[in-house]
Amino acid sequence: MSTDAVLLDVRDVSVSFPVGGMLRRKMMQAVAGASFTVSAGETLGLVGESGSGKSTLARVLLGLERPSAGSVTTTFPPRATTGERRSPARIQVVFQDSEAALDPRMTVLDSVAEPLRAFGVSKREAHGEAVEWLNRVGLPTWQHDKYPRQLSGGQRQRVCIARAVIGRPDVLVADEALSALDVSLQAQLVELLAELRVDLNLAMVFISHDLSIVRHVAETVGVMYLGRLVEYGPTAAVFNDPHHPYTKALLASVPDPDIPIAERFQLQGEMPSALTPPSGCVFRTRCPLARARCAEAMPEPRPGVVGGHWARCFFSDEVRRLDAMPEAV
Amino acid sequence: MSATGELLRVRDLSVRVRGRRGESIRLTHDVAFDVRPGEIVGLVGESGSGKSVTASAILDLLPRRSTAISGSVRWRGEELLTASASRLRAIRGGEIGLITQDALAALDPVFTVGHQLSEAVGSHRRLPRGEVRELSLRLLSEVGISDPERRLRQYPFELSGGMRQRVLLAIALCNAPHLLIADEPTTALDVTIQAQLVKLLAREAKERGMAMVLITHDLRLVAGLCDEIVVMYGGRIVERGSARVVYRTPSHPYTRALLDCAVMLESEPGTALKPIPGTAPDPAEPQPGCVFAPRCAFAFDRCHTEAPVLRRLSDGRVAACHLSE
Repeated sequence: MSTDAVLLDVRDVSVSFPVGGMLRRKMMQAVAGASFTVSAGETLGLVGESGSGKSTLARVLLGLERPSAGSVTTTFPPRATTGERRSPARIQVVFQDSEAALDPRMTVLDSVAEPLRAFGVSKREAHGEAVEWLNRVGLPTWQHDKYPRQLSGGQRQRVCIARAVIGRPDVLVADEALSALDVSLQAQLVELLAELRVDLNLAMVFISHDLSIVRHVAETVGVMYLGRLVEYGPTAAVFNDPHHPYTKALLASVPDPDIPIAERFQLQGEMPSALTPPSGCVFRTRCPLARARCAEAMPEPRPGVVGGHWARCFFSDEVRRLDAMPEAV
Repeated sequence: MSATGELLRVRDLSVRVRGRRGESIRLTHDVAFDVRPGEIVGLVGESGSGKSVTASAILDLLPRRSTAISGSVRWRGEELLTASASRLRAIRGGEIGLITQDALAALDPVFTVGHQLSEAVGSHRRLPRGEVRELSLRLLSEVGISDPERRLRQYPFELSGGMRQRVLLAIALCNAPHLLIADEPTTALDVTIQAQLVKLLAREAKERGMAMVLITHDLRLVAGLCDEIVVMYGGRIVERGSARVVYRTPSHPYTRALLDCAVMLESEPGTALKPIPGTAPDPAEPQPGCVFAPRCAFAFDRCHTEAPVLRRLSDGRVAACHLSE
């Protein structure tokens, strides 16, 4: 199996939800025309504010949401037959809320063994593997018989990771999986995910609003705003030389004690409602570079300097100029 | 630094709770710090470090039946630990404002923003209805809420997370407190909104001459904002000093580890992170020696047997570490 085999091919995916009553029914477009691929072993980071559509996109990848337009094509390598039945789930997920993700009435060992049990693996065998995985993710043996409520948030998230990888998925979706944890625990779990990724040749879709962590774990990054992918490309290119003013603003929001508060960039206002998106470019209402043309149409992707890097902005050449005008961002 | 004139003076504050088998579990150990008028103090540490318990003890928000608090909390010279319930009610929300992480839980879902603001004002002073409304509108626009007239009529669920946190701040500010205690005020929010709120908090504190205690697990977020930083671990203060000194040249190994473990935007991808090994200590099973020793890269024999005490270093800060002696 070559490492760059495309596993997920997402083409022009849109997701709309009906909202409101029968008479005032409206469609809310949560995701609009998203296209990207995820290859074996690759980590794609998805960043953006709440309501940008990242989690809806994750739900589409997991098959929990049907796209209203476009397609997701999955191509998974055939499984090596080991003579035993395995969970056929090729995509697994770790959510932010580990307490809600685990059954409060099951011991964590049972929870981790459950995916294998569900596909016919014997109890003894499933438990044996669950013990191995729990040790592997750093939960000491004496805690395997505990219930979720008895563990800390960091430990519970380790359990969720063990449960997600025990069936050997090809893709792991991490939806704000580290966001509720302390900084010290985040570092521990970033390291754990990095190890698992290499050992299992796991592809990851890593959704987070924490740009520092995304920069650390992802090779490719997609920036979402109001349901649209507005910038996409190799992580280094997107972070070092952002071509979309929104990406620039997100980067400027990362706390940096060395820059006095008053001199820090700040994006004005909040994201508009997805029910009434602005005409033209959806970011224009908060954009310091916006002018008349931006109200006319959503810009098509314009390529950046590095191959594979693009941004949906008419004035992407001017984004660098924003450094000189902190108050404007 | 003078010994007098502080707004809040916390000494030897220890909180004990009753465990499942009736045993006494000590959550904080002899916490001591001062807040002077207009000063911003950052209370930093991981979950379970005792920072929120300390804040709750100061405001007497812990369940009385199962907790025992000892030490002293002096608010403008007045002892709060022995103050009457009615005096505490007057101070809370009056002279001391509080905002917490979970704005949705802090706001009442069945009342409008306007109702909750006027309730907060009305429980501390008598104002004619027109003036309350005027004050509410002014506060909402001060904390950056657009269209305050409409917001007054809205319910918490109709607002975004960032907006709710702003409403909470407006409520906390409505009686012009001398001190605002902010417990993880930005943790649940997006980075862009975080940046807006931190800037707003700094501005409000400065313009009002209001002091602030900012509780957070993210030292980076507050280092640029605070005058003084208090680092807590395992229920104890391990380092305390001016924000600049503590952030630039951390003395205690825990402070250093806390700064080193954070994934920074500037850190090159692929470089190894430096997570703090192990887990936070269990207060139900206290160990002898330094509370950080089991996770400390510099621990030696003495650290496992003898607990270090807080000592003042030459640059004015205090730290509890055998190595800094």
